[in-house]
Amino acid sequence: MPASEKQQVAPSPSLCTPAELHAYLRNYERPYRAAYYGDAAHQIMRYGAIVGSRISHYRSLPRAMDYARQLIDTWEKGKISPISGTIITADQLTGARGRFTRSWHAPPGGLWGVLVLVNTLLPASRRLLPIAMGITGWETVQLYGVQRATIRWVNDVMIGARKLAGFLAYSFVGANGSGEEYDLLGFGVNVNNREFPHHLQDHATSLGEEVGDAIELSEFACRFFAKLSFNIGLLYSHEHDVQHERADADTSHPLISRLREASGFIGRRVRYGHDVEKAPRYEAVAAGIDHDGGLRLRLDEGIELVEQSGEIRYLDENGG
Amino acid sequence: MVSELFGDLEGRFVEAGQPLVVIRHPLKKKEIIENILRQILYLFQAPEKAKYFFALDIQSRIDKKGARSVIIRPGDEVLTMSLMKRDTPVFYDGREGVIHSIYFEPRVSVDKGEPLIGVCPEEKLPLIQKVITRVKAEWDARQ
Repeated sequence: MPASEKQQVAPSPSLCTPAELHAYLRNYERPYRAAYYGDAAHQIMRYGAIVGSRISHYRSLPRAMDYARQLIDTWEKGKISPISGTIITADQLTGARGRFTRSWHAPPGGLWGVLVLVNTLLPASRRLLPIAMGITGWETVQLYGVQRATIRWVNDVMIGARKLAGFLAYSFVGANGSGEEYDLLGFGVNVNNREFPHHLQDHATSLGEEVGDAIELSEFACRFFAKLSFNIGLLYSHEHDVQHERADADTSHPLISRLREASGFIGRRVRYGHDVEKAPRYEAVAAGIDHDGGLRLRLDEGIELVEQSGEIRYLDENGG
Repeated sequence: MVSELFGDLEGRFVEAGQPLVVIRHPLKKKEIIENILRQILYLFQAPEKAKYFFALDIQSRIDKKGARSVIIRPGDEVLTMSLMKRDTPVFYDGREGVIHSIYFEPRVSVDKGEPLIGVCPEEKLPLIQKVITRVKAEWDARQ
């Protein structure tokens, strides 16, 4: 890594330290969840406690996902076990990318980073990781009274036609013969960054813009990480319950029920495609979500298809 | 083509699974060759129901030279699996060989266990070509 880049990625005081996160979980998140989940909240939060076990913050990174991969590689080569639940954040990302070749604007003011998980989930739970990220973003935004926020399948957090938060997931196997599976869950939330490049102006918004005030970024980060901890815990906890026959694998996962609640897409006319902007495939009405998170799309002929990947764009009057 | 129709069931209540009609599908030359190939090639199967794409490096080699000139080895990252907005590299774990057949389309979901590619060891390519030529010759002779 060049010296200038090394300087750039120098650690900086964390937006939310593990101790602050722990206090937030204990004082706010647990009582809030217990009201809904009862005693089960405790088990869920124990499972999710790995999230934020280590939190590193940097002034600037080219791309958090790439940095996390480099870090894992370095750890593995040094025979150091990567710490599952590590969160890496940066004030700004200079080379942020969305899916495919899309650019992602990540200047100071937003919450940009990645959660590193060493995979111990079964495939049925692991597939829901991107949904857990979207629910986390949506729930955190709700804390600021933004009731208009919805999720556009799979996990874009939208305010009307504008995107407020986006999430990426990338899985891979360690390259150094460890055989360890990793999940990198990237997050990008427009918090106080209100200026967007021209091509994004009609498609992006920020939380600060929506509430008409500056948001305390450290507090937002702690709230976001606390919700992330719970939702990741929910994946493990539900898997445990299914294995012990305390929950039915064929009924909806709690995260899917939450996605239905947060959905801004069910009943709307959409365009679908794997890369919907470059290669749209067809138009349909989003009819619902399957119990495994698949999107049910009803064609004009009445036929229903279920898509397990890809993305949608709204076609009705509200755009987006 | 319809080869048998159970007309006696017309207007009657039938249980689920009860045969109503038998349809015969005469195989075409291409389908016969494909079925034989599936028994000869090493079939690399989809690990999960998802959409699959060739890894960038493999795709560019296919674009330049054609799939049957691309040799893959165990441990090579050959595909990307895309499921619920999560991309996962897929590593080849079969015998070294050339990508002889491609069974997936990039934008269409593939069920778990379905073949994605058929791989043939380089030294067996002439043998496979011989089989294909023979099937074609026998087919043409019977037409």
